[in-house]
Amino acid sequence: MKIIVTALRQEARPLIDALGLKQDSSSRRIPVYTSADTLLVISGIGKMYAGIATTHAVHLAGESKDNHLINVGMCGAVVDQIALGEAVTVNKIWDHSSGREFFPDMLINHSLQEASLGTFDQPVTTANRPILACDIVDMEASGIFQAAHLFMSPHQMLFIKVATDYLEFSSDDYSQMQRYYEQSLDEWAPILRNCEQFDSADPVISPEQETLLSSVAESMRLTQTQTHQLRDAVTRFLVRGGANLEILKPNLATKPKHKTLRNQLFESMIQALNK
Amino acid sequence: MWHKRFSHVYLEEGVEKYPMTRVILDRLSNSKLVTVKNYKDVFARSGQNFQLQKRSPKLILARKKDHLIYEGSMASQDFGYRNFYYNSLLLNCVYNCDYCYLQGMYPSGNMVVFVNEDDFYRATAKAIDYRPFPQEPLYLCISYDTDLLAYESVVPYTSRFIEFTREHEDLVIEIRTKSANWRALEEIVPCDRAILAWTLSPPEVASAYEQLTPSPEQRIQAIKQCLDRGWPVRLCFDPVLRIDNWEKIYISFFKEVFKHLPAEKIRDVSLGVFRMNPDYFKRIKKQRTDSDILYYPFESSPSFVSYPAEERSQMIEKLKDALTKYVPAETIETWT
Ligand code: SF4
Repeated sequence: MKIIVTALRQEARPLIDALGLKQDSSSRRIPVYTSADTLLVISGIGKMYAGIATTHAVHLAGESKDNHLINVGMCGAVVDQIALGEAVTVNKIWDHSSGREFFPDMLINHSLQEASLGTFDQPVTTANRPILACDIVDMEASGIFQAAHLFMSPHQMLFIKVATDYLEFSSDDYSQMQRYYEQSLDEWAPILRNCEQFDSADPVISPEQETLLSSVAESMRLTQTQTHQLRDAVTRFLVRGGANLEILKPNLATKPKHKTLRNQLFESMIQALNK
Repeated sequence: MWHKRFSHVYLEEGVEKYPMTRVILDRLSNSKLVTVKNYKDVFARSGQNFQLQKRSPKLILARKKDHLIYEGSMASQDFGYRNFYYNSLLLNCVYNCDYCYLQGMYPSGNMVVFVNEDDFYRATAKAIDYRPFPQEPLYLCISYDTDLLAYESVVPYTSRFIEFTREHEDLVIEIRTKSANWRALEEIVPCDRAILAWTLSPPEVASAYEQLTPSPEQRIQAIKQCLDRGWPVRLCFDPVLRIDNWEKIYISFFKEVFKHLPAEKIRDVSLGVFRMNPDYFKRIKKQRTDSDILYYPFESSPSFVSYPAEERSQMIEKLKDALTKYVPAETIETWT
């Protein structure tokens, strides 16, 4: 599942349209929009709200190794190398108030420029520039990272920010800032559509085989250690090219009456798998 | 799709001042630099996926603040040296062997290089001065939890440590490797106290379980070059894996090895079966189900996981016997 976190409605709107998301009316306090493979949440401004919304979103999506969390939003640019309207990916998040740093894994080349980001509790103005040890600033990312990291790995997180100002703007500039954001969409929206499924490789033991294993263990009254040993033997058997687990099926009907017999049957089953 | 290996270099605060940092950054001039207060904020994050990170590993340059040299444990391969030590110049390895314990030991597939070179030399010199058995040299493994020579083109620690060793008469170093990078040593005068220890596995093992490593033929060629130049060479057939037809495969591999290498020039041989710390082993099995060698019906004791005792002794006995056709038995050190 793709979990998208934005702070503002204005940031979410173009994505809701582009990805054809529908509002989930059961989530009243925190706006949530979904499709079959995407869940978007609008957090509101600030890292506390962002953290809460992230947790809410992960809870709704369910914890999974296949989840991808993507934070998209507008940001202020600190350095001139980042142009207004340019989208960047974040390789480091510095929380200004705690001084802590967080690092998403940078495994996939998204062909966007990279930047380090500072998350602040207050809006940042040009007067703050000299103290800024980062390329861009926002008010949410560190909260999102910390909340998400409780449920997922750093490689499952991606932060995309669009520079919409150089830390100096008034309400008159809002519509231009929104235009910058929307115009950049073509640059980064494909990333959301094609989120790589890092861990999508099928598990060695399929769900049906898992069921078979449990049934065999139950009918043969295997001990916990024997169940582990059987699992290892099955894994090895399958990795070595074993096509199916037909050889286990006769044991489904076996209900050994005493331990000695159970252990004998178990040993011959393991031997057959290890052949 | 994937970023290239070492697409990013993370720099711990303060490492800019070390000459080794400059050398590495010059050699990785296309990498993106990211600063970090403490290297553990990247290396030791929770929930990292070791194998995924191995597909696009990053380099972290840091300063090692303590434990610049470690005393070897009783279970270490000390080759009769009683002053046995090792150090950790690098954490992790450019290769990715299925049986490698580093997967269970480190939280990350990224690689750390400690760049405060002089601190390592100072600690080593001090350990030489205060070694418990002063009549014997200090024996130091410098490629213990890594493969130092494999990454010499970026981090030139092997050559520099060899020069340091040359200046310290009471020091013997071991450089363990699977690399074929003999050219990195081409300009260096051999040092008889710098042992090049090559790990060799039959092609059947190398191709299936030693990802990213040079082929056994390439390693043998590299060994030959180094022997010809007069380097002391140790051959390590370790870990021996109990694959199908293991006996035949290993014995014919020995034949192949000694067809190309002059056995009389080999300093010694190490022979050991697969064994691993149980905690590391458990952690690795949690992470991966794609390698059959990890799912062998092993025997577990509090200190290691390995093949059942009977199989271990059978393997060592048969293979030691086969090796003695080429090298004297007293030069073979075994590990079961
Ligand atoms: S070469 Fe050695 S250190 Fe490197 S991955 Fe293989 S076993 Fe591990």
